[in-house]
Amino acid sequence: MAEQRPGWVPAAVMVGAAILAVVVLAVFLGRNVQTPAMAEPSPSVASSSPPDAAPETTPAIAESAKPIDAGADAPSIDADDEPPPPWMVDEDAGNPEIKPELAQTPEWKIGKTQRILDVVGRRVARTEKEIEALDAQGKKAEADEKRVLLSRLKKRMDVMKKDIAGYEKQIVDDGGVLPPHGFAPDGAPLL
Amino acid sequence: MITRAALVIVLVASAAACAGSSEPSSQEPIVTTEGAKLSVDSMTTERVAGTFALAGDTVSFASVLAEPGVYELTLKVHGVTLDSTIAFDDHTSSFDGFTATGEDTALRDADRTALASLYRAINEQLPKALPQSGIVLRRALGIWSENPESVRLDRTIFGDEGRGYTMVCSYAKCDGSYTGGCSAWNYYSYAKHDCQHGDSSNSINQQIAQLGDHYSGTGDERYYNGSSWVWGEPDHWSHPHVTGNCFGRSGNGCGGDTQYTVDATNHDGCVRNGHALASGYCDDEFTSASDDELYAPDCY
Repeated sequence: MAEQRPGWVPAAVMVGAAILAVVVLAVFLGRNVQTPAMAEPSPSVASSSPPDAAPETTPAIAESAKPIDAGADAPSIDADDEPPPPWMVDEDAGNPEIKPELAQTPEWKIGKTQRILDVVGRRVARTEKEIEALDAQGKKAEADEKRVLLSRLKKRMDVMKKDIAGYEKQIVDDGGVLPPHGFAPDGAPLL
Repeated sequence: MITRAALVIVLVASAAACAGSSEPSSQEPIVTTEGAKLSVDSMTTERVAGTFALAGDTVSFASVLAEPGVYELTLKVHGVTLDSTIAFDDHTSSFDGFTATGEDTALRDADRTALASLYRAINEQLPKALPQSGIVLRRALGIWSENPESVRLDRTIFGDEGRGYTMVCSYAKCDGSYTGGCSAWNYYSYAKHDCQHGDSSNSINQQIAQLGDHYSGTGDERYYNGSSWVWGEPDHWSHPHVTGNCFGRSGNGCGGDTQYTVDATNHDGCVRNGHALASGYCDDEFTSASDDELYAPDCY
């Protein structure tokens, strides 16, 4: 199914006009200007969603997602709001190096999952007591709602236990050893 | 006849009673710019809760401090219960979403629209400095309001700095400031995503972005079309220069938290450059950015 993009046709006309204007300007000024890739046939034009993908949905801001040129229909822009051209770059910004992230090891995942599994286990215990109290008070609707929550919490616990088993298998398959008390949330073995 | 002394005693006793209470009385509903009504029934360290009504829709929300560092959240929208247990200090959580009968479900457009309206209302009408229960609620709401239909609601979300999320606060500045216009750019290269057009090394899936709260307007972002800056959404252009509407910030637009991260930048790169906010093509960027939204610290 082709992507439904609001205002695609008007956008293409405006972008085409903009490209023409840039090319004319470049000829006059002799400046090498990068033109947008839309000047070439865009793969998105003939694209279709894969069969299992969710249909492209338009969020709350969809109506404002149409390309808007700073022209007739755009809100007026104060001259002070006009950004500099892209080539005005602050060479002295001094950004620190972005280091690659550490691997999300199975030990680390076990520690995280075990921690939240323990917490949800305590929530299950509290919820069971709340249901008892609601039943004793005759608040059937609230008790039934809590029972639904309880079943979902228990289901989540089952899934998390399976996740942990899978991570443990990864460690063992890689020749590692499982510590007797598991792992902390930071992945360190618990002593 | 009430003597002056008795009146003073009554007033002092009332003041003492008010100072000792930890549960403030319900406030009048706040009417938002969209005409919605936000009612906050509780705003304490232990519990932030209320309801939100817009155009016949109602969303109820509650965030409770269940044990030290652990929050239990429940939101209800259109018959769907969104639930999470968050061990915030340990950066791990279990999320879920289900119907009234406990069946699996997914969020759809109308659900996300209602949740996004609540998110905007909280950001616009409540102070940024909420009790921690409220901050956790706001962040979880930021995730749910963007949750694509194709991403399961039941999942664990965990991440640490340097393993899950990476901060890029410095790139959110221009002219040394996190806000305001720019006289020169401090670009981040590249915001990138993978999709039906190729992997993230494809230049049409990459943008040169000035992050931060520097320009706001109507449209996904401000981009340079070759001759001027315009608002809109370039669809898979090769290395366009982009900025605006808090590009790179976790959450939708300029939400209440000020976290600028690599994953949030990549997610914005995906949903603002040829894909809808809940596009299935941005699922992996969304899931990568979820722990950023929940656990990353504010830049300012």
